[in-house]
Amino acid sequence: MVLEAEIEVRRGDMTVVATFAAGDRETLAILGPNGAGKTTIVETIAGLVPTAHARILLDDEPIHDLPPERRPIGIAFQDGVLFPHLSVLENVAFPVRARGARSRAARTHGLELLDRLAPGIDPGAKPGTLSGGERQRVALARALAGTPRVLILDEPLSAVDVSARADLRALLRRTLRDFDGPRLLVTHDPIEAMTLADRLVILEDGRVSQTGTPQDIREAPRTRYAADLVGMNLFAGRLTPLEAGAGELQTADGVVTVPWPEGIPVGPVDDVLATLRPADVALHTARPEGSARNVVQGVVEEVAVVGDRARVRLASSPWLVAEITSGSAARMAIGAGTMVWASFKAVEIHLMVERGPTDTL
Amino acid sequence: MLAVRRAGVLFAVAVVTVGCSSSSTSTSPAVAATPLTVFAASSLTKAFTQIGQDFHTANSDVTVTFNFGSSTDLASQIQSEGTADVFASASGTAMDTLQSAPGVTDRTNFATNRLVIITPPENPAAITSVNDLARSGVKLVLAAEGVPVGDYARQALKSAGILAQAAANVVSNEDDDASVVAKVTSGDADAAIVYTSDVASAGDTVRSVAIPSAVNVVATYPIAIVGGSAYPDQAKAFLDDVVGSTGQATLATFGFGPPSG
Amino acid sequence: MRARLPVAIVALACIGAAFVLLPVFALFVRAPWSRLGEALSGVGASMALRLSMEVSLAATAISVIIGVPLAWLLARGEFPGRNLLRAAVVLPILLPPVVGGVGLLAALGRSGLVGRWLHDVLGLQLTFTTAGAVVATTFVSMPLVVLATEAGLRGLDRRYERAAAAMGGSPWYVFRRVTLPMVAPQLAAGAVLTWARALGEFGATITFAGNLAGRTQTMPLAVFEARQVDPGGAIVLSLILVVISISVLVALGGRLTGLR
Repeated sequence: MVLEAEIEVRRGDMTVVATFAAGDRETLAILGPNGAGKTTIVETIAGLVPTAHARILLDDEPIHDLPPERRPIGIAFQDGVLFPHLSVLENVAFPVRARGARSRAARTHGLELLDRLAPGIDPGAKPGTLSGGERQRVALARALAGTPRVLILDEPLSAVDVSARADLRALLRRTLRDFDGPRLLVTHDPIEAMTLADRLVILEDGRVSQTGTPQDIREAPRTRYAADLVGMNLFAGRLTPLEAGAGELQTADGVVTVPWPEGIPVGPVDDVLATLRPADVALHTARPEGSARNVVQGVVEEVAVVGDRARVRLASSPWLVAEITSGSAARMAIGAGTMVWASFKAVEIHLMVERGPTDTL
Repeated sequence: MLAVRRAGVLFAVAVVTVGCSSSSTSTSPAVAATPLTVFAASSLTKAFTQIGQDFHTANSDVTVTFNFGSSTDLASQIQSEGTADVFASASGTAMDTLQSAPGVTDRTNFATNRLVIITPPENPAAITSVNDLARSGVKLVLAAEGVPVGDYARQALKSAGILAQAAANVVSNEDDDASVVAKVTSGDADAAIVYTSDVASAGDTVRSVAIPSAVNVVATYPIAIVGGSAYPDQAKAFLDDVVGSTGQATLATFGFGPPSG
Repeated sequence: MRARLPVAIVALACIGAAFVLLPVFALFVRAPWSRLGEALSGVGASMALRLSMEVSLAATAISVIIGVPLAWLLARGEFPGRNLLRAAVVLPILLPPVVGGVGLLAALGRSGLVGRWLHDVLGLQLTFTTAGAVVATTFVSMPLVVLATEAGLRGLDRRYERAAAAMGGSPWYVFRRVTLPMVAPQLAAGAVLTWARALGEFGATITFAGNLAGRTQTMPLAVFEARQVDPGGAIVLSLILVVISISVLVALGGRLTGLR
């Protein structure tokens, strides 16, 4: 099943023009700063913007002429937008009941979904009593309840506080992976995009500035925004114990030594994410001595100087971005093709590990 | 909502202006004009308004303000509130209630009125005589019991021997004769019983059917100065005017009969 | 923590309270208590009371049934003349009720614009009937529920209705399961105000429907008629109306202001 969209819509004094396609079982992220027009795109695909010009095809069948309630799309909105006067279960059952199903069948289906995605939440509770993370889980269940052919997540993590994000992100990853059909993820958070999506569409000021895999963008960001996006070092992979208090994170392009996260039982853990600020990466012309646990060697791919800062991209294992003063860059005569050493401390790596079904409140 | 507010204000202003134009005679901004308050039966509205204007032309230092209504109603207002200088009633009974408190002086009968049946111009129920009012299904409107013209009407119907049947036909008991007439001019009532003076005022907006004198009621209208009036001299002047030739002539043009019947 | 109000505010509030309570209090003091039993059991009083209840409840029901869609149209519809329509809806509140009655006569009286057709073709006459009293009462009290519901609809976060549509809800389903329940408090408050206005309605009723015991004489009309012949009885009738109104309003309590 393939979703193709050609959208042109005027909202306020901005026109949003975007063309993209999401393949079967592919997660496409629409990534852009706030105000770029991402929500407009979601609403247009949902059929909620009557003034939009849109050609939307699902498996070559046009759905842009259908009223919103007939489009086979499930959406989890930012903030959930759960109906405040209905219970959690009634919210989840809504898409099923709206299409005419009987109450009993809808309840059963809803309870199944809630059990899978939001265990521990009372189905009779009202949305107002839930935390941000819980609301998102219910919203996700509701989006899936109508067995849609396309799944759209609109800024799923933005209304959730930081401590609950890791769990929710893991849930989203599982859910997206298990969803049979194209998926759209709309976000302003590059980490969300990089870790959940297969491909990215970068939207700025209503226009698509770049599309590609996270790797494509990383290697050749076409705009300032894209470059800033990838200005964070991101490691994802399997965490295994190394020694007391430390572990090894095996990513696709290298190994990183990290502190063992608190509260996680010692043993291999999958789906671990870690970030490292470029400013925490030190560069050296010769192999450094010192306490830093992570030392790698690599060839400089690009040096971007902005004012008194220099961003240095290294083709190393793992792939790294370092940020140093332009003075230092000049002093070390760093340029494309130069061989340098990079070091960073394990403790400067920020790990995001799913903590399991403990409660986020 | 601003447009609504504006429209609302305009309407409120219009309505208040219309509502406030009372039946008071227009006054010249006279410095020491004496305000004279006359309570009069509603059947006297047009006649007395004319008399009041003429009186003011002749006595520019007196301003006459009227309060028209059902005589019974007015009498009880006078008893509880005072503030009337002259009272002209459509029934002696209403005047009687004031005899002891606050008391009246110079009580004189100044006009008579008879009853008449009125129907809408097209006479939908084909009323041609008083007995037709007994026909079942006729929509008859009377003034309520206790209002002079309502009591008179029932009296006449009783004399005609059809009170029970006619009472069954009553669809509304109005507060005064003007309201009764209104129900006929709007075309909703088939027939009503009011004063002949009301017919004179209504002109061709109603059709009238005479009530035979044998069963008709002669209403005698008394006028008097209310005890405790602050302006007894001006009140007397007004009373004299009403009873005198000018007043009598005006009353005659409006359909009233002479005081002697 | 109890809020401390400035003395001036408290003083003005006391004056306001006294202003509304005094007439009611006076009624209680002046009532001919010895005649109460006789007046209460009187056929006239119970007829008028029953009629008042029937007419006011019918008027409220009709007001809600046609008023809520009207409110929806005013809140959500986009069409030329919408402001004019809203002004027309507000009009019955501003007009003296008698003027409203005169208008109704011109429209629905036996010789009225539409009334003429009703009479000649359908044999229906609204004037002098209980139905006519309901029509007159609805005319003057419907605006209250329309305005309250419109305000409620305007205050709704449209995201919920959009989400409901995206979830597969047809426009009618969304209205029934999302819009209406979310605007229910304001609607209910408006309906209570409508009922209260309907109960006290006098001018349009007496002008359009007339005054006949058992058919069109609601409590306010009965009080008006009693004034002339039986002032004591008028006070008793007034008291009955006051007591019933107060009981209902107190029972509804805080819901009157649309608070959850």
